[in-house]
Amino acid sequence: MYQGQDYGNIASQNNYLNESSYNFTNVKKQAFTIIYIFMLVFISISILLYISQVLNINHSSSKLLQLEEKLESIKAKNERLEVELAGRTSLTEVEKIAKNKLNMVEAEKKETLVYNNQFKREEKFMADIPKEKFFLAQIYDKIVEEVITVQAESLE
Amino acid sequence: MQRFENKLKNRVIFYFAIIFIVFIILALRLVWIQVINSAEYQHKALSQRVKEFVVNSERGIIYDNTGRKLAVSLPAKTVVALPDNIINPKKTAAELAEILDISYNKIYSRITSDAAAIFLQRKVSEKTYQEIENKKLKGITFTEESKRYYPEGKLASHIIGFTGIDNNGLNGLELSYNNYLSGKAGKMIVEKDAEGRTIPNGIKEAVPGRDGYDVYLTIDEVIQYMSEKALKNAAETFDFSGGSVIVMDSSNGDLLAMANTPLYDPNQFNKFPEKTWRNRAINDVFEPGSTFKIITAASALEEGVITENDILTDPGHIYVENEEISCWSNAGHGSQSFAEVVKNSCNPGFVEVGLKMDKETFYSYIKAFGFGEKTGIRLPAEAAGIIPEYQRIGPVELATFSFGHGLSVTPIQLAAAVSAVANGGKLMRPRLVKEVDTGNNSENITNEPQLVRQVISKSTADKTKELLKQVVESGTGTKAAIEGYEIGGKTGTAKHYNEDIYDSSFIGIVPLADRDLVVLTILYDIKGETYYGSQTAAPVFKNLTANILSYLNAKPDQEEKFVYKSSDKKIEVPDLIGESYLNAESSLREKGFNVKLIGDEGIVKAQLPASGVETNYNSTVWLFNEKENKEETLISVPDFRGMTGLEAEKLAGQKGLELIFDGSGKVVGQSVYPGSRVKSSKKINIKLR
Repeated sequence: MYQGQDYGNIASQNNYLNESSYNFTNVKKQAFTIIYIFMLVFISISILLYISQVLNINHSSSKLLQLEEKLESIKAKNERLEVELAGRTSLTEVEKIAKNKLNMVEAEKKETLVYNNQFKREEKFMADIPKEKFFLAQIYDKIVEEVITVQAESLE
Repeated sequence: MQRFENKLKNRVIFYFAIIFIVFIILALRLVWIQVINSAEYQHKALSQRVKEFVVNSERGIIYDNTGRKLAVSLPAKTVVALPDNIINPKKTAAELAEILDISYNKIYSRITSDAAAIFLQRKVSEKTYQEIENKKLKGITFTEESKRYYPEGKLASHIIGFTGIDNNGLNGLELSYNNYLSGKAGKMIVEKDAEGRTIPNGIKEAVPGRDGYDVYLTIDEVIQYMSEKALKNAAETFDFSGGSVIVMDSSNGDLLAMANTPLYDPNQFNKFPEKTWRNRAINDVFEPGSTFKIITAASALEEGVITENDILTDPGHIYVENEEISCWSNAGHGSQSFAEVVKNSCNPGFVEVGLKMDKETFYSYIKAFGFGEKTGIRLPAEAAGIIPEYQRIGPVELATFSFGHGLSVTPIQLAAAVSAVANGGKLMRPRLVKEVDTGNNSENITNEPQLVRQVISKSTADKTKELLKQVVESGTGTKAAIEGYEIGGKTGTAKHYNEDIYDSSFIGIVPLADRDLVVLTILYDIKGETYYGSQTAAPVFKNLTANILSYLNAKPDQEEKFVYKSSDKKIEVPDLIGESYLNAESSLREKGFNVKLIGDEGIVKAQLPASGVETNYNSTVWLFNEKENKEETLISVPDFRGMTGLEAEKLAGQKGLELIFDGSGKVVGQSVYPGSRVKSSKKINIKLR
């Protein structure tokens, strides 16, 4: 009896062989796929991040421009207010307020009083002579002291 | 069937061929645009996005000497119409006509014109801008420009001036300092999107401009205000067309105030008549009248032709080449010293003094004091004053000059000249701008005080000041006196020719602790019964000066009151004939005489007064090296009538005249009319009864 080939076995042998080669290529393919996907995701994220960064910069720049414009307008407003303040505090305005609102009138007569705090001080000038050096001066001072010192005396 | 298939195939090939050709054409066109002609399209694309703007420089600020802003620049909106974008021109014109001060027809014609953009009104107020903005009119937009504001309004308007719509100075300092104030415009290149918004991180290039430089003045806002108010108050009392006040620091020529009336508001200068824009203190001339006597006195004292003790006579008039020149006092002031002549503001006395100086000398002093030429204050249209040409001046002109008539000066010239007297004889250039701030300290332009020339010596200046103090103490200027201050000054009144209109003035020297101020007040075209400078300008000066002194915290000195001390000492003139000039001069000076030598060195051949005459201490003795010179000297004849023979002889001797008496008693007649000028050799017959 012709025993033909065990196709099933062959198939299984082939499958086995095929399976191993298949598995090898499959793993390889899968690895590549993963790398591709990873790369794709990485690149996509990078691109997204870059775009987001650019958008962010643009957004910030635009905001900066707006703030600069705002600053300019605030500066202009400030200057305008300063000028208004100068106008409102001008001497003409001050006089107008003093006369019309506070009912002040101009003084008919002005009198200037000068306080003189430069009084002449009467000072006693003592001879600044070192006593130990001038013995005669010491005696003179003592005599003068005796003469000018007045002592309270009793009624007796 | 086969045929049909071939036909279809051919058609497909045909269409493919056409499409192919079209693609080829498009590709070629693309190459043309992108490669061959790329530069042009690049440029077109760029110019669509990139906008170029002129960035106007900001005009510099004008400050007073206390740091207050007198002129500033602020951004202001200009209303712009874009005719192509306006949907309903009639409605737009009607709404704008309500807000803007322009007629409907004018606005309509403008907004329907062919122009791409047109200015409707420039530099509108913030309120107007807000009103138009709230209406949200299509095709109406705004652009920003810079507008000049004067926060103090009318204050110092004649000094500061104003600018035009294009921010160019048109008057005052705004005009004369325009180069410094205006700066240079810059340029800005910006990339914009379709809606005109700036593209962030787009092209942005700037060519920087330069803002205008700030200018610092010597003007003190408070003193300026006081000066303007003094004129305003004067207008309530007197009838005059306008006035000028100058307050000058004599030590450096700084102008602390320069006021004129009528005033105008530089914020709306076009609403005031043009004549109100004139800075009369600079642009206009006036006849100084007696205020000019300060110059005559200082010149004569410096030249030594007179001293304060010399005797002069005033019979009420003086004749110069048959022209009668009267004194303001009809009766005349009689016999008086030169100090009294100054105090009484006596015209014949000053004519005598003026004529004692020769034409060349007096003219050179007038010029040296700065009259007849611009002071160089750097304000537009400064007048030089009118001093007649040298060749056209005769004795009459010289006589009238001596009391301030027949010539015209500007108020600033007069103030500067009197400042020279106050400042020890140094004529300073009037200074209005102290510094121009360039933003870089090392490059700031500082306007240092400038000495023009030493006109008279310090001793002459001091002597003149003393004479002026007695004018205020007890002369014609008593109404200018302020208790506690030694003020010197002179009144002036000049009548307009053939009209009862006067220019009245007062110029005073006000002493402070370390310097003197010169205050000049002038009232122009004054009418009515009160017109003398002593009645009008002097009180204005007094009120103003009292306020200035109080503001400057100058304390009055109540203890020491100024009293002019004239010497009563009499000395006899010695005989000097035959002596050398040198010996005669030293001998006279030793004895206490002032000496005037006529002619160069030599031997004294004649003298005036003659020897033996008793005269005032420190009076002048004239020495001649030729007898003819003395004989040709003209002497004005006093009015001897009413005097005793002795009195007449004494006075005649002091003046250098010889009398022949007839009779006894008092003088009842004289052969030469009083006030006439006769040669000293002429003898005058006197009738006594």
